[in-house]
Amino acid sequence: MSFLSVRGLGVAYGRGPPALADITLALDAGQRLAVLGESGSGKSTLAMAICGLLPPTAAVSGTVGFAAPLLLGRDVGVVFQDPNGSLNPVLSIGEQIAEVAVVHRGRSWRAARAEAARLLDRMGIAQPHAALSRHPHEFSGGQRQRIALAAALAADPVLLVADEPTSALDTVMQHQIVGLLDELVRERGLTLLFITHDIALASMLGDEVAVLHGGRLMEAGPVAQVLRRPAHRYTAALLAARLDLDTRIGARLPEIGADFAVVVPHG
Amino acid sequence: MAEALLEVSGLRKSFWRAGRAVAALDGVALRVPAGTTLALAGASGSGKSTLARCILRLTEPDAGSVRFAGTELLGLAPAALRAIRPRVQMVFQDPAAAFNPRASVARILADPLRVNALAPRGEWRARALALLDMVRLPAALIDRRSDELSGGQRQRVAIARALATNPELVVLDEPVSALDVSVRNAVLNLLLDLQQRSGLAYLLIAHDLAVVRAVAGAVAVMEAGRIVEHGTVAEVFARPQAVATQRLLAAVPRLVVG
Ligand SMILES: Nc1ncnc2c1ncn2[C@@H]1O[C@H](COP(=O)(O)OP(=O)(O)OP(=O)(O)O)[C@@H](O)[C@H]1O
Ligand SMILES: Nc1ncnc2c1ncn2[C@@H]1O[C@H](COP(=O)(O)OP(=O)(O)OP(=O)(O)O)[C@@H](O)[C@H]1O
Ligand SMILES: [Mg+2]
Ligand SMILES: [Mg+2]
Repeated sequence: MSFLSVRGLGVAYGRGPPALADITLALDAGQRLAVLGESGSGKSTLAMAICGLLPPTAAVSGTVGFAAPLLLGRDVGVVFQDPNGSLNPVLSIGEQIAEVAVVHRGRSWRAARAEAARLLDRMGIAQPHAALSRHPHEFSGGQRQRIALAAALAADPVLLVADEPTSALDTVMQHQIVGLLDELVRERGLTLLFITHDIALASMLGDEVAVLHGGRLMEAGPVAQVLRRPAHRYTAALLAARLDLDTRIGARLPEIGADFAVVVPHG
Repeated sequence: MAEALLEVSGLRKSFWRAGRAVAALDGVALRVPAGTTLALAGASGSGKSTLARCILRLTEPDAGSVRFAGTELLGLAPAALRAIRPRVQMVFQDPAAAFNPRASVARILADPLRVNALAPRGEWRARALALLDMVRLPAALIDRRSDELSGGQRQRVAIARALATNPELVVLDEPVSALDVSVRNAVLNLLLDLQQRSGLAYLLIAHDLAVVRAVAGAVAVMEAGRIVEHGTVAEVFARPQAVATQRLLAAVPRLVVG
């Protein structure tokens, strides 16, 4: 059995069309899965379903299974799309990061705080020891995102589920964090599921990629295969609408229209 | 040089940390002429959001000047500031924190019209629906609570809310960071359309340098509370002078397949 297997997963929030329908995918231990897709296509819903964190109002069908039982917070670290969702505003960030290692790994507070400072240092937070006693609102958006990532990694999880973990970071810091995650995967066998809108990032950090649209899985497979020879028109359109530093820029930017055609509106 | 729509100079702001003042803004100057876009890039923690908040006086700067359409905003009395508010809007970096999570989308989009008495109650819903459509959101979302939206849907509601008052300047703090490439381009196209049609000006904070290059005319790069590079997008991207800019450009992720 795979490390993670999702079979026929469907999720509906009350009335309205389902947020996810018939999702089947598998992930091996130590693999890195990038999830790409339209805004509102169900990426965060998939991540929350895997972590068992959907709201009680969600109706779930199908199954999410792991090869071995995993405990959320200890074996599974989660970074929410909104970093404030991961952080408690009234606790110092040191308490929040260290608590994870105290509760789940039986560390002493002193040892856990020292580890928390080391993690923050690796995440590029200046003066990490002094930072431990500050509260979340005293940090910038990108600093909070890195603090949330540190808290998710503090118990040394086997699976990290990270919802757009570098969306608030400058390119230099993003590069550093990608390097850190890559190292955890290679050296400690971390399994990684991350959501991103950055296709280049998916290509750099992912082994496998899954592409969602309208609650359905358009395609999934090895990164090189899916991004080089996309099987689905939506994936091809995503690649065609992508901007990079060499894209020729006209008066307007390309959008994905009906039938996954890429169109540039008139300016 | 004629005075620009937004003129910031000598802006300073420190935060107290362990009994010591640490500068988040260390003398910042910039200008945004009407109908133009100035992008602001720079390392995480370099002071971009603090600058944005100080311009709108959501954070009180320690010193400096912020002139909008010829009026000095710093030290302006609350009533006079309220009168300017609809003309200068902001999209916050963290849209979730900017909304009451229990408020419906209809309520969030009507609020600026209600608070500024810009439209009669009977028109609010139609205006809200038009705004949703502009940011590519389905009308069905109008009665949802904001905590029942996806991250990118919430980000688009924040943009729609900022546009509700037909402002002259919008300060956008990472407005498209949670959007897929197509929706992101559609929102950027909307901003370009509005600029062309009604001469809107933008101060656009963005980490994504491809976005900066695609939509801004000028760009400023911040580092440790200062602007270390400033120029047209064409100049700065072709010949970055500051080490900070060179590093940011060198670290842009590249598509690698196979
Ligand atoms: N609590 C909720 N109640 C009702 N609908 C919800 C709820 N949470 C999400 N949805 C809806 O489910 C769909 C999928 O949302 P989800 O957050 O999974 O999208 P996403 O792919 O993560 O999008 P984004 O890239 O914008 O974050 C969206 O249409 C969203 O509006
Ligand atoms: N309320 C506060 N109290 C203390 N320090 C603060 C506060 N707000 C911001 N800071 C500090 O000021 C500096 C600038 O923060 P700011 O949010 O302006 O950065 P930013 O450039 O927007 O970063 P990001 O790209 O990560 O959003 C950071 O070092 C931050 O830790
Ligand atoms: Mg999401
Ligand atoms: Mg910021």
